Amino acid sequence: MLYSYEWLKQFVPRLPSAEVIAEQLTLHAVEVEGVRRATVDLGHVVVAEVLDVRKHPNADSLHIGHFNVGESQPRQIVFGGKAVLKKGMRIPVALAPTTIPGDVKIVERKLRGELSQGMCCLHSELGILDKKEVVHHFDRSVAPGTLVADALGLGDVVLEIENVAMTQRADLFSHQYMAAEIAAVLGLRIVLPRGESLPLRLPRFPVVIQDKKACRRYMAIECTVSVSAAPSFIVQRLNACGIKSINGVVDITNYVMLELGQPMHAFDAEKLHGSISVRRAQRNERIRTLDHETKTLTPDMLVIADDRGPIALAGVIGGEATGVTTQTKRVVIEVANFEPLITRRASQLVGVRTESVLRFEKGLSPQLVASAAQRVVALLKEHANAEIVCVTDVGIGLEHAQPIVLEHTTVERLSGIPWKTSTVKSLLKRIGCDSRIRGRKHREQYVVTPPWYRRDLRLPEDLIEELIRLYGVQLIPEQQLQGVLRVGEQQPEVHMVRQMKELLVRAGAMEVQHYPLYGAALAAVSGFDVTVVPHVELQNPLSDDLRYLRVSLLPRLFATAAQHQRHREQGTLFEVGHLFSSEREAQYLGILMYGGDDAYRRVRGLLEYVLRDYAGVQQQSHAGETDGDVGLRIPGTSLMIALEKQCLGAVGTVDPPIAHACALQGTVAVALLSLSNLVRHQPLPRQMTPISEYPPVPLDVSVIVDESVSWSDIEQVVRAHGGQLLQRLDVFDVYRGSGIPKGKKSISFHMVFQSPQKTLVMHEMEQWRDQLVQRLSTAVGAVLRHQ
Amino acid sequence: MPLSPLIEQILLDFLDAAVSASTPEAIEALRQRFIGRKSGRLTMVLRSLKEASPAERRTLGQQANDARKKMEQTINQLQQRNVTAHQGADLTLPGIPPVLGHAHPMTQVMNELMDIFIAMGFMVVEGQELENDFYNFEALNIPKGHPARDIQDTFFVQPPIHRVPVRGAVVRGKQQRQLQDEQWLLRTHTSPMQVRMMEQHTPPLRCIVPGRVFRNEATDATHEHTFYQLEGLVVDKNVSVGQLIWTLREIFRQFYKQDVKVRLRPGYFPFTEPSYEPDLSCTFCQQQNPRCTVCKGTGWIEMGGSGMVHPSVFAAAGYPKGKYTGFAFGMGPNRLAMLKYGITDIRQFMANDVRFLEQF
Repeated sequence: MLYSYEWLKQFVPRLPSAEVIAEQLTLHAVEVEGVRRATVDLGHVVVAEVLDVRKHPNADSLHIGHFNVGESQPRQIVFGGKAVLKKGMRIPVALAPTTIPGDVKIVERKLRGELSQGMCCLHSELGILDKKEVVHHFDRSVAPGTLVADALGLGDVVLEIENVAMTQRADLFSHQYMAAEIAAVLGLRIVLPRGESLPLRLPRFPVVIQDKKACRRYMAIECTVSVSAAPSFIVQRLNACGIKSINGVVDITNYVMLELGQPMHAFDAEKLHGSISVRRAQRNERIRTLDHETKTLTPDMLVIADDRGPIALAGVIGGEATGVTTQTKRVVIEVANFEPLITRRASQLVGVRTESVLRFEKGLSPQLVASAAQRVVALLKEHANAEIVCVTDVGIGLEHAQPIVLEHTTVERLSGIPWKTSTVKSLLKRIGCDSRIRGRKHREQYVVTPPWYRRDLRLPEDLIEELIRLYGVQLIPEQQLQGVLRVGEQQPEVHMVRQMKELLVRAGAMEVQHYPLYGAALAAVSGFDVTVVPHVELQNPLSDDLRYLRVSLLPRLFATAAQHQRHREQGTLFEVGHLFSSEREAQYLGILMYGGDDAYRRVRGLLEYVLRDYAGVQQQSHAGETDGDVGLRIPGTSLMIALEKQCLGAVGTVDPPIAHACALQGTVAVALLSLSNLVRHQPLPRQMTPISEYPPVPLDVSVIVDESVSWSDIEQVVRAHGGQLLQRLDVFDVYRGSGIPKGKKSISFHMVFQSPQKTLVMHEMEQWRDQLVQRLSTAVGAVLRHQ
Repeated sequence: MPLSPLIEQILLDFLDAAVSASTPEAIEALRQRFIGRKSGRLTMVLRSLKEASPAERRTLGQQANDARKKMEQTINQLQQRNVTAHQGADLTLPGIPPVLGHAHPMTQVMNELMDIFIAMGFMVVEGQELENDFYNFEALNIPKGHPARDIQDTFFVQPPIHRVPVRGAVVRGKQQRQLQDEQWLLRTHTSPMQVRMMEQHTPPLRCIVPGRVFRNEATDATHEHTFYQLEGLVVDKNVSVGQLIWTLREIFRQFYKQDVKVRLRPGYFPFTEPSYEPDLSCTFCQQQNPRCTVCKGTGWIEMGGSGMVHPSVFAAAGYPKGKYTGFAFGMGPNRLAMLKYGITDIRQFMANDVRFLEQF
């Protein structure tokens, strides 16, 4: 909200400078976003009265006018056709020579042969108000020659406070109560205008509240008025606060709203039929509202209706048909209290958010209705020749709030500092809270009654907040945190993820982090079509490519890898992140390798390394399905990695068509690991293996086998045969081609044997090798390959 | 036939001398001294063989020739080594970097923060990213229709979502039936873990919740829809505002490794009362530069939100009324990382540009 400094000063005569207010409010109440000294340098732009207008003799689109600009002689100005000017209008004119915003120089010159001594300015040209391409019309009360900056209240200082910063403080959305807040913070005196109570003896305008929960109080003041423009001080202040001037009556109601925080609405009394009722809308009832749109209503909404139907959407916006125009002779001013949730909901449903909604949704006191009604009547009488016809006031006038019992010890406990009871009392008094003390010394209780406009004060903690901020939170000395000394345990998963990331980085991998969302298109090309694989879907995505919660890390890893391939030939990416389904949310690791030789074996090696480091055991691998866990599904050829018979991960290569569709180049290998499952495995304790004193014996073997025989078949035989002595087993070559029959392959592997007890004898090992070849021959039909 | 003592001695002397021959000149001198044509010691031995008996000549000659070959080999090796060590050795050539991986900058900042908190005895827990309305809003004193919900534009998901209760969670409040709550969403803050943690633990409780949160808002250089938060929660019998100030200052002092000031300003968060917005004294200009781009000349950097745990949050967690007090705070690690590394666009964190990630 924007606050006019001049306006605030009306309530607090000894108001310090706006900068001081901004600083003190920020420290003690609410953050002031900015202070705008409206020194918008408009240049020499004044209010000018149009004396006559004629067409330019030499240009169809131009006009020539004479203007009274407060100088001894009128000025002649040539102007375009953007606004139609008529005699008697008062508009902004830049007087040559001057410079207006946008660094536009205005000089006296001839336009198509006619002298022009200035320029008629649109909002857009001055960069003021709504900045639209319209011309501002000033009231007759503004004398020609007045600087436009002054006439529009642009000379005022404006304080800006973000609305969200005051969500809990409905009262602060008004000048009077903001002034009271400033006075409380600075310890200054506040002067409030005295209103006179309205005479209720007059004939009542018929008002029926049907939904008393949704509308607790409704005042309808009928009066005759003459609708002209509001006085300039009102227009100026509205302008300073960013509210457009509409007409005298509407401006006055808006003025009271900005002053007291009570929204109100004016109906043209002659357009009303019968009585006013406050009721829920009927299904599919319609209303054409002041924003020139037709809204279809639902029973969720509260309306003001006359005998013919809705005339306003309660607390949100008025109806067009019953709006006040310059022809209006009689008005009904509505000053009411509407329930926050209903007003807010209606506003959301029809998509209209007004200054009125902004205030009602914060929760206002019905008591505010009376003071606002008095104020609006006073202003209407003074500035719109109003005479009251009748006043109706239905509903409750007062809210009975329970006093708050505040323990003195609670104040000290929460703030951490000792307090004097007199300080507590006097600070409470500053914000309008009545309090009395009861109870023994040091165990005092304050029985506190907050002022009616502070509906946010309900709990002892609310009062403590007030006390601390008025006292100054910056005056509270810091105190070391104390308590039972305890080691900060980490959730096992947090610890595991951290270790794993470090390991992967050490192994040369690059961590990436993605949105947990993707679109149907990316999911489909990556092999996770949302029409096939169930996905959790957002109701309100920012865009279609952020619609689904990921079920796999792969789609975004593919996309990023494709990006990286434009810059790098080779790379290893990994991501740790959550995957989602309607049943489960779990954490996974994904590793992707592109470029280089044998990506599959390298990514597998990396995964095994990670697993070994965490779990401490050699895991088993199986060709086959990954238990239906979508998070471990690889669109391609893959191998399942299991620990103690539980499937934990998968490793494989991406099918070329999928890789191609994802714009990936070359072979792409991936490894996936379910961290949420892995963390349930107790890692084996790390044990040192004794170092053998005896020399290791290396032995290489090459065998020729059928293509259908896999390494794991051979490995099983070798390990079984090798027993304890086999220390290492690596494949160093897989060969097909010359010398090898078709349909066969040669696998060469390297073994290292070592005994902890003795030196192995070479010829024994050679014997052993012959037996191995024999067994391989029986098991998988292997034939020793001779070099 | 054993090696002649004479030849053995020459060989040993040679090997001794070879150790210290490190320049081309020294190597040449070594060669001259032992196998030089004029007066090399071994050459002299070979010459003297002319006068020896045929048998002696055969054995000694064989031994001397073997020794000569060995010496020539050694000298060759020495020369070779000398060449590689001393020719063309431009020591100003740049080092070859090892092939290392790269942890995401956010991981690095989060680790740094976690270490500070762990050292101060805070537990670290993560929590789930898909939350329900109860923990994200209701339990935090933000009932349906509350205007504070506007501040946190939320991504809601389509039903149904099924979750089983967390093992070990004490069912104190009304949360049990909320597990099948019809409304699930991507958490808008890490604060839902406040009530979840309180349900599972009895004070004293000190924990942090590092994690990702989501807001349904358009992105620009300073706004992301997916970003990090770090939530802190301390609950005990007599936790005070003074301790909140100390804790925040201590954390930032450790993070920036310099003395800092922390200032609290009144703020509003539905789940804390009183609520404060902590400001950190500008560590970039030390509150000295009116044109500082980080603090914009104010001398203070906004650091998130904080406050004393609201009684209704304790109630939602099922804690007895008035028994405990506590404070909670939240900070934005993305912003800390941006300030730390001079990153000017928050979207960089999720863009995954290889040229960006390689720098960390």
